[in-house]
Amino acid sequence: MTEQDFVRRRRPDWTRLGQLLTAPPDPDFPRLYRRVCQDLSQAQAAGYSLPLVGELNQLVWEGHARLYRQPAFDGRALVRILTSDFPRAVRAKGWLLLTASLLFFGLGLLVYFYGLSYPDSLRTLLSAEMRDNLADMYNPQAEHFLQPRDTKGSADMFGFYIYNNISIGFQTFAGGAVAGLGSMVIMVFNAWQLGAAAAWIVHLGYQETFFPFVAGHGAFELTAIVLFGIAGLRLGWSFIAPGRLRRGDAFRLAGQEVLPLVAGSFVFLVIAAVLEAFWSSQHLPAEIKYGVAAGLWLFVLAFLSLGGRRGR
Amino acid sequence: MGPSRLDTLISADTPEGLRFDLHPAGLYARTKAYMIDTLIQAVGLVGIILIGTMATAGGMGTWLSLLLFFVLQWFYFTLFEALNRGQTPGKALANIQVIQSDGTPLTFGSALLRNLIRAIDGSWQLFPLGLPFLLFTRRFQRLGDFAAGSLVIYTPAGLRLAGRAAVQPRAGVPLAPPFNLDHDTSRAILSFSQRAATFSRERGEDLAKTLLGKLGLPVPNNPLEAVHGLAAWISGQRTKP
Repeated sequence: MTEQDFVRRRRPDWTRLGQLLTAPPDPDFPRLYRRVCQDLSQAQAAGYSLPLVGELNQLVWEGHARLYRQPAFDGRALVRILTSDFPRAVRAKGWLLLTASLLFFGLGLLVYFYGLSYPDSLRTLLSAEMRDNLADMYNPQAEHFLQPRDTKGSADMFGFYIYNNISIGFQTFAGGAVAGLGSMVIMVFNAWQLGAAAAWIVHLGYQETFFPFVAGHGAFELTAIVLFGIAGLRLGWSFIAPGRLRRGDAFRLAGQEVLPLVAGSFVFLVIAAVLEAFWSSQHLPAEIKYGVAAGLWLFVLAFLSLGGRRGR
Repeated sequence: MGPSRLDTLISADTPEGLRFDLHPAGLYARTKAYMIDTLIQAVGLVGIILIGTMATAGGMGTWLSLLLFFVLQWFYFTLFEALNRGQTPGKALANIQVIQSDGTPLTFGSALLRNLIRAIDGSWQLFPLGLPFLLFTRRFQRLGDFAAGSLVIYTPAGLRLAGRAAVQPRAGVPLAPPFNLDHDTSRAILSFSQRAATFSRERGEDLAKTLLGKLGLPVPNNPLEAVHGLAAWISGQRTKP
């Protein structure tokens, strides 16, 4: 068969496939697509002209993208990712969980107790501006009680927490791409700032306003930073120690593994922002605040340690 | 190390047992797309500030502006790439798109990964971290692309503009090669014939002489015309134009 004969005979199918590419799904499409795949093979094997091969190559490429497109949004899959893949990913590497917890909670507590024992050190650990802000925010007599200076109202605070906290969470994760270093730096920095801030507030004697405020949303917020940190460290570790895989492949697999962690931690921070803006700012007796906070911490710990243990 | 490569093409295998060629997009096209996207983000930011200021004056509060700002900063790339066939507006204008490295369309998860990691290797502040990866990896992947298993390629429109798509027959006297040329050789001859206009005449003659010599063909007085003739034959021309 000469090239001209081939084109004359097969052209109608190519035109039809070209039309189906942009049309709504058609039962004829897969058969037609595979037939054109065959045409491309034939054209390549027979050494037909490059423009023809190029045209078929293009047609097959577009058909391929249509046929093997990703499944549409699936609500159930998302629920499964958040309720079982997410807690599983948290537990998957115990030593990462331990490292990230030590870097954040461990260091934070260390700085906190050090600050309590040597309050003078807090003047170097925290900037003067930060110390003023804290004094302003948690002073029960202050005008901007429990709110940074430039905002007003719970809804505004919600927007601020979403923007600020989730940006920090994402940065903690993304920093892991450079051998985990960025994640560590961000976790260490935040642990140091939070530990020192808490110590400074206690030093000022405002603990009755501070701890009932942070205890509740802290369950989600602080945990989420550690979880973003785990995701970042997992990514970075795959680069340092790829095991039996090539670095590129190890990195890609780690990327797939940390996706549920990133998605779950994101949801945690959204929950934290809602709680912080609308619940933590409520002026209720400390017993109620602490009671609810205990419930939230228990829920987070139970969810992360028990979630997704039953089979798929 | 393997033989040095003639071009930057990579191929994807399909379940049908076919391979097709993909053209990874390099630094230039991607920087162009990034600059356009950054410009759009900047315009969006100004818009949010303006509307936000008016809304605040009307008693609305700043929470909406903050939310929009968050989405614009962190999800602009992800949402466009996930929902618009791997293309942000900038990528569409630069005629490039993101796909999975196996040739299938980009998944939402991959779009999310590659664009979160953008904070490290793609933002203008940390550009030096991403640059070496874009320049020196075989498929021009930055760190985010490695993690997501994604790839940025030229779209068909981009290939046509760059003259890399299916080659149009050249006007010339077709010259039948005395033996069957394989696919790669044919492509090399065609692209040389296309690019010959960008060399000086002498340089073109020189290269054509080398090319014919490598193929074991006799070198005539006008080697450039002979190569154009071969190219015309390869592109399907059989008679004089």
